[in-house]
Amino acid sequence: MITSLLHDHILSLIIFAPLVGMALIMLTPRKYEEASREIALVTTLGVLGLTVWLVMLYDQFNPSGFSFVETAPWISALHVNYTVGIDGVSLLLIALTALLAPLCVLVSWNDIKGRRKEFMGLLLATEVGLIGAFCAMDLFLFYIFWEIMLIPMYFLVGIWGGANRVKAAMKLLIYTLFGSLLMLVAIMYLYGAAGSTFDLPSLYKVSLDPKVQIWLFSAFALAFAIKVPLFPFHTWLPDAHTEAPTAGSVLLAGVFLKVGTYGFYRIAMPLFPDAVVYFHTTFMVLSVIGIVAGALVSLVQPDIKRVIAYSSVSHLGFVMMGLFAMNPEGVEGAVIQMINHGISTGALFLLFGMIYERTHTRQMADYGGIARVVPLLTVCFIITSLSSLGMPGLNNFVGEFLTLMGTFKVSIPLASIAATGVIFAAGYLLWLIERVFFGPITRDFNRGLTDMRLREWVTVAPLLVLMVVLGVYPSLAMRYIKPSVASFIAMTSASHVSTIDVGSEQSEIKEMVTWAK
Amino acid sequence: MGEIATIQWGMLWSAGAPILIMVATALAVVLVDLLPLTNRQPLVLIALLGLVLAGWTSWGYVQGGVMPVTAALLHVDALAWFGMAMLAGIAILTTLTASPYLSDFELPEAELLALFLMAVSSMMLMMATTNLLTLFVGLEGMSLASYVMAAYRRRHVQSIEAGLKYFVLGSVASAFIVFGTAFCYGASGSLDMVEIGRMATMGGDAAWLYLLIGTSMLLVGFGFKISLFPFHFWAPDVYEGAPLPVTQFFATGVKLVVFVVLFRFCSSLLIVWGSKWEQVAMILGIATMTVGNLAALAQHNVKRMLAFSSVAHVGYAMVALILVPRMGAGALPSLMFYIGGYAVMTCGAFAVLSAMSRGGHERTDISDFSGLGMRHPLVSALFTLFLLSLAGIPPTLGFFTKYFLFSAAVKQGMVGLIVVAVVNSVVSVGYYVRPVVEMYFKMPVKGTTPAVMVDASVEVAMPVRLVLAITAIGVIVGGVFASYLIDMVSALVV
Repeated sequence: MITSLLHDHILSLIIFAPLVGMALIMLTPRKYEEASREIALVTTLGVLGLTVWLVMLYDQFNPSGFSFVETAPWISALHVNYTVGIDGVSLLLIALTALLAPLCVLVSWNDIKGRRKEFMGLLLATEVGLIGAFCAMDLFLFYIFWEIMLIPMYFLVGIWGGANRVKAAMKLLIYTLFGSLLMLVAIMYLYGAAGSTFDLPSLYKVSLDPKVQIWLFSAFALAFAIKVPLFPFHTWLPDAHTEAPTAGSVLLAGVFLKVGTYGFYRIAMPLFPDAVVYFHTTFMVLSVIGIVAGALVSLVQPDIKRVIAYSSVSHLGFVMMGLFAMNPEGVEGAVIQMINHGISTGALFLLFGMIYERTHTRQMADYGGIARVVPLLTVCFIITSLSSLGMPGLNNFVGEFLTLMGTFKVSIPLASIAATGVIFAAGYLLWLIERVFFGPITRDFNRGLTDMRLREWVTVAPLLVLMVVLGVYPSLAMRYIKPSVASFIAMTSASHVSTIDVGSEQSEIKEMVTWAK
Repeated sequence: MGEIATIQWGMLWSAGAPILIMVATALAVVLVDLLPLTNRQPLVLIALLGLVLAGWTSWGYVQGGVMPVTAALLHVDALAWFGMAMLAGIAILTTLTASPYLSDFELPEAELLALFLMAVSSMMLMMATTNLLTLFVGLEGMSLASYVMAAYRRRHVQSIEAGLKYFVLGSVASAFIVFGTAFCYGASGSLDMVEIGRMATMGGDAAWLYLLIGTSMLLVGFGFKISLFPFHFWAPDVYEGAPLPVTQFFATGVKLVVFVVLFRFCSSLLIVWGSKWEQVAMILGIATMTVGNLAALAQHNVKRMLAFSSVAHVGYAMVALILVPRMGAGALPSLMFYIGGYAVMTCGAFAVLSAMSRGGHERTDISDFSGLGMRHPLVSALFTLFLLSLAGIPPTLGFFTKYFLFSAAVKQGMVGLIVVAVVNSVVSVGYYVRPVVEMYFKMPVKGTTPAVMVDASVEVAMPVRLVLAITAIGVIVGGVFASYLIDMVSALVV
């Protein structure tokens, strides 16, 4: 009976399990505050365990459409239902979140000394919002979870962040709220126009006048573009990522941004196919600008965290580019890139968090030659950086290659410009490594650094393993994505994106693609 | 005049029971005060008892589906009873907040409670009538009591300033209302709102002109009471100067009542404006919310900020009145839900301010909140909750009230208006979040924080705790279980 209960309501359990942890943490007396870390760890590991079980269950289904759907009426007067369900893409994103959450708890183990209870509680609250957003099949519910994940993150950045945290947190809050409130107006309008329903599958079937679609899409796209972030709506990100505490940065870069791209994938694009056609070129161009500009700005940053932050802008540009390419390669590449970016950049922030715990400085000028002192950490960092810049054999290569290929089919010039982003990525990451890890030791303080401890190994090891595994055998993840992407393309296929006939090269590319899949 | 003989006095007494209960309670308070009592707690208890009784009676009438009673210049219907019940609830919260305040600040309880209860009874009268003159009687009862309550801290110059300002400007507003009533009567020969509304279509051009002037003046007068732009300039100073519980009542109870009255106007009198009402209300509403929000951004005093926030919320609530021409009584549920939810949140916010103001000093400057998150975590968390709810962030009650109202408007096609309202909501986050930043993101400033609050063992008074608990539960539960509340207010439209 327990198994059937779990089976039927597994998604709700996964979404709301962190609340149990939160309640326990709130009840812990202030004297035993350290226990909140253990409670949070156990809770997030529990969520991870449930997610692993979910993945195994999902394997047996392998359907298209949504599975594990639960629906219950919530506010009948507004026709809002609590409807959750997943398909392959949401499944992977939930897995990513569930994986990163315990790692965030682990990395904050000693890092956060003040008000641990609140920190862990807010971390768990963010997890609720994030996983809920990926599961929601009711548009109103999605909106609620979208807002729920913002407020705890605001507090995480504003209380435990760096020196400039107040401004960074305000920027994050106001900028995101601006987009999401305009999205709310679009949701209200859509509700009326679609016959008083918020149910996503029903909304997919509604066809609206193209002019209306363009306005609605603009509102949704603004909210999601701010989150992704798409150039030129990215200005909140560097401050927020830099000033956030390590766990905050990991969740921000690893998962938060993906909710934006997921929003495009699940909501904005399938609901308004004519608008996608209308805005196609705009978004492709903006994505490419984001890729190149993000990379170039990354090159000149003196603050390590800011380098990684701008690199996120650059990498998410690949995702957006792939999504709007609207062919199987592009979209599959975009989705796998979402996962891979979460893993790599999450690992980058985790590793840098470990360094920061020891040195308490983010400026590259304060580093140099620490490879001699912390060789193991250096190795991990280098592997992660190579993964992030897209070296073949590691995970990001798959996503970047597929998105570039998808874009190449649509527009050769754009793909070529975007490809330079890979070169610049190598530029800023390798240069970062050189300045931080190699060369002579410039600061005496750095001579006394300790290498990785067991807790830190446990934190990065899963991610390192995934980087290699997903690089060598990406179909492990791709097979979940394929059915979902196929229906995405079908729904958005008022698309008329022309493929450029590249003749015989196409068969070679097809072979490479088959390998990647 | 021969109607008096045929009035069913029995039905009238029972229909108007809440009003009479309030008057009786006020008199009881004054009488009991004459007794030699050691402390004044019994007075508060009497007041609470009376309010609970009145609220319970009116709620019973709403639930029981009692038929409206129209007699002797009263018109007591489901809307009136619902309003009375809500008002009683707000008054209970205010009395609870006022009780420790009065003893801390060494102010006499009896007079304030008596004035307050008389004000409440007048306000209930205002909601239970469609006759302009009865309305005026109720209005003056409310206003005169309010003027005195605003000046209640006799030795505090700002309080006196508040009372005087309110009195002078309020009297001007009352004059507008009387004059407007005169014009309406002259044009239609009746003092009843519904009758006058009918004359708008039936009378000639001259009648229509006089009605227009009359109703405009009424709008000016009542707009003053709810601090609608451009009649809101008195609000910040009066709200800031008046004692905290009194401000709490101004911001919640008075607005509730006047909005009910305005709703009645919209359905009857303002027919004379025809299609112009929508445009005028839209301009007023947008101006009010914008001015309220922009001014609130510049405030350092949290009490003043809440005053301007109250102005902004009036702007949002105007959206409901804008919808009346198109939706008729269908606009009522969203209006009542909005005002009710807003009242709960604001009572909670003011209760927090009261909790901070022990020992005879009102601590309402933003710097008084510095580092409060560390010293009083629960109070800070609740204040954050109320502020987020006022800003309209899910899953609090404030979000659902805004959503219900705005989605009704979007359904009627007023997308532009809602975009403006929504942008205003984003702007409002800027100032709602400032106390949160001060409480949590900044360390306590040594040397400037008053000694009373640095000592974390200073207790929050029991009645205030009760108010905090009730409003916090209301904000959280009302959000997640908004369904019940919405169904409850929707039943009003029957």
